[in-house]
Amino acid sequence: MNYNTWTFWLLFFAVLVPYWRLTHKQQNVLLLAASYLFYGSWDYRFLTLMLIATTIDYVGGLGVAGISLSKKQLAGLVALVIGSVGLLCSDIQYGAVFEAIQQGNPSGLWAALPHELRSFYLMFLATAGSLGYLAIVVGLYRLPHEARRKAFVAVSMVANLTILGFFKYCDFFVESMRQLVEQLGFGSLGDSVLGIILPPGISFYTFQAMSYTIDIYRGEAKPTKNFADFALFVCFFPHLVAGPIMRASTLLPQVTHARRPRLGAFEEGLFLVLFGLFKKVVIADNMAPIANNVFFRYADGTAQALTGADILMGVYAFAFQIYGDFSGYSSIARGISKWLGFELVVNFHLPYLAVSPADFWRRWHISLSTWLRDYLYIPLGGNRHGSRATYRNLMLTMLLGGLWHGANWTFVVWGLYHGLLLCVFRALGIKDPAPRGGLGQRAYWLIRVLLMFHLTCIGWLVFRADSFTLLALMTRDLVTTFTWTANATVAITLIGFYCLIPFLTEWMLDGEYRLDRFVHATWTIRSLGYTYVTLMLLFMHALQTYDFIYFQF
Amino acid sequence: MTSSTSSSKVTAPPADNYPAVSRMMWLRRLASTAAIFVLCFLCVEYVVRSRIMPASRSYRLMDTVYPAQAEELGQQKGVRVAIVGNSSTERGVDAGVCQERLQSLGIADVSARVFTFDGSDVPEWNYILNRYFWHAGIKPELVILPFFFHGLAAEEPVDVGRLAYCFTTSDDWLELFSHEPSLNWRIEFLLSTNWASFALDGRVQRRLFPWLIPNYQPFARELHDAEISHRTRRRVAAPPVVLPSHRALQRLLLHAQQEGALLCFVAFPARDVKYELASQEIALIRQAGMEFIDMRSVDGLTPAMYEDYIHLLTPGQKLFSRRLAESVADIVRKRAASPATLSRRVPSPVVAVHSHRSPGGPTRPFKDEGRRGP
Repeated sequence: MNYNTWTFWLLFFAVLVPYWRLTHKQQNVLLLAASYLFYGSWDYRFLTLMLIATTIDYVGGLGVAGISLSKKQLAGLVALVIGSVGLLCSDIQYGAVFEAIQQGNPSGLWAALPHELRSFYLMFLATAGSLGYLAIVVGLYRLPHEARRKAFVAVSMVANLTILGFFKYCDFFVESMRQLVEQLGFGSLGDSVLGIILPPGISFYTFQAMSYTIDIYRGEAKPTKNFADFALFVCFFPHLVAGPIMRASTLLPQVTHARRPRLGAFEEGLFLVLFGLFKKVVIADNMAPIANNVFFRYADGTAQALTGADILMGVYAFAFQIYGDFSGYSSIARGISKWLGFELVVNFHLPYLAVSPADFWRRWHISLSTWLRDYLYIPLGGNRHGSRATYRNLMLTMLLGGLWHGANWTFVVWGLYHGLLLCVFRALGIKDPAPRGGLGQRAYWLIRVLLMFHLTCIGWLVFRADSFTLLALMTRDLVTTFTWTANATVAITLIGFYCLIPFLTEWMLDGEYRLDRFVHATWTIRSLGYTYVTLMLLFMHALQTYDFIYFQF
Repeated sequence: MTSSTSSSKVTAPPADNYPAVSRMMWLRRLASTAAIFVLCFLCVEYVVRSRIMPASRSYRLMDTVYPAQAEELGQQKGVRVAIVGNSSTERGVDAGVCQERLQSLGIADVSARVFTFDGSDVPEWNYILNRYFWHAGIKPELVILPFFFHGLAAEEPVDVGRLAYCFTTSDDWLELFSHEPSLNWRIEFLLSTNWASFALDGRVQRRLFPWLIPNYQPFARELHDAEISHRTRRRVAAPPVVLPSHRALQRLLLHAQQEGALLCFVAFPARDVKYELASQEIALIRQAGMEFIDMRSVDGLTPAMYEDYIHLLTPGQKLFSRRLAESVADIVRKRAASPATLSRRVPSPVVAVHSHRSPGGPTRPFKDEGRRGP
């Protein structure tokens, strides 16, 4: 159920219509139910994972703050986890259950239920795990104040990273190990991967949940005793599967406090939703075939006719595809959140106008880069312990940032590449110019923008390539066979056609920071804006739809 | 990544400074925004219905040419052959050549006509046959359906808008909805039934770009081919975990049985590759008493006769049409001899085959990648 499907909008309007007529508590319950429905629509079994992460961080946050839960509350949480695992992960044939209930057929109902003990193995595991966790929690409360705080943070971090590591990286490391063993000549390990399915948005919500306990530990956020409120903070559906990653200090108060509709929020939301859909279905999905043409043909070994110019256009197309895809999602998430009375952070701020790598990361996926800065780079020491340590911290942060994007060595190298760029610019002491001043200064700014855009594109080449072999081939052809072709002209014309006007619009609105410039604009400008976006959405959307790229992260 | 060591919080952007306004003013702004939308939609709809649709070749064919052609075929004596397919059939089969070859093979009373629809496959053919033939009371003795790659395994129509707006009426809805469970699909279908600009959205793009951008057509074809070729290779390398249920094929077969029609599925030759045929699909066709002809390899058809991986050039079209006529000649003769007999085999009723999974692969759903035919 993506933003670019009718099903999502049906669910959303089913929530929105009664939403503002409900009390604050009812609103939260409705949002929580909608969020679980939204997430469960991919695979209802993933809900248990989210419930487990929610429970651990809820207890962890309270533990850090020194607030103890009653035995009844703890028992309730344990029952919730075990019960949900039992109901969702025990091979119950729900389709057959509903059919049997409709037909009043008790034998059909019995047949739809699991009969073997092994069907309940996950429930037994959950029971053992919950009881073990309960024992640890009881033990941790007996520790001295500071030790208890640290221990709760550690437990929360370990639990979240274990969930993330298992579901996202287990197969990757097992496969890498298998390849290494085989290459070293120690024989074949066979097909050893587990075939683990990556739950959508796991990287986003585990990072968000982790920040909660850390922020409480640092005194930057207060815990909530209301489990439903905390659960909504973790699974708030507008940004659940592809961000922006919200901090507890920003989102939790919006969950726990009453929300009121604002006049500006409605139209801002409308603009963000339409513009976000535009970026996804008009820009990203139309750029995808141009990029795919290059990357697919290299993957298939049919790229003989491509020249360096075609490859460059493919990489440009991918640069705008990933931007349109990801920033489109963020814009829609912000837009629908505004309709629900929430404010999510701006996640992109004209990233392709960056003049340096540091500037780029202040503009691209801002919620992740600030997360990495505040919870990884600075705790590692930041720039406080000399140049060597700073470079090491930058490289390490970017390496993990790259790995966050996906379980593939190309993502690791992409992260390292950006780390290297940060280090080089820092070592050379290159200052960021501003787009102001005389003609010379503006020209210098423009050159720096173009330079940084192309450095970013090299990164996208690494990011998008399926393997290092393909990366090497494409890089070689890009440099050695650079001849302008008719196809390259068509590609650049299409890129310009789809991207130029939205890019200028974003520039006028300072990314998404000055939406009031549109909302307060004259009737004529608003009419023109809405007409353009509507016509483009209706007629210029891609003829083939693609999933949001960041769903897989 | 900034190198600053100061921990700064990510904060929400500042709340707007809109002045407090009355409810009436708020409603007025809301109404003006809604008015912009409605006006915009109405203008677009008017332009699409009055200008774009009449100018569309496909729409003209569907709306006026094919109904008349079907009626004309219905009035012919002898064996009437309808050849229904997508662009590979349009560029690969010449009805005239086919008819002449059949006549030269001794079948004097035979008439063949081609009905082609870009990007159509089994899910669309059911409703195309409904609209032009079965609903109109025209029953050709033989319907030839050339397909390629996974055309028979297709589950859902490629172009929902066109299906809703052009090929179906409200009479078909119940049957369609009983087979198409996806809510998203149903919403799109219902919106398309009366909203022309929504239903035929892709046409504007296809007409505008070739006119605006030189060399657009070959570039677009190259992108399309790369996408299809990559997907085909990937499916060959790693077949989908959830196998197709063939519900569209079963519906078509069932419908043909009810109408007493004889369908002949023809596997179309592709350049460079002899693609795999699914034995389950062929078994279903034969069980239903219909015909299947494997023409993946055609003597004399060389790669130079192809425009791309599946579309033939004129020499290829002529050759393939002759070969097709030779391949179906026996079937046509039998139909000429006893038009009431469906086939030598006794047809068995089509039964539902539920979607099933590969052994050991219980979880990952096979993602529909927005399949589009040529």
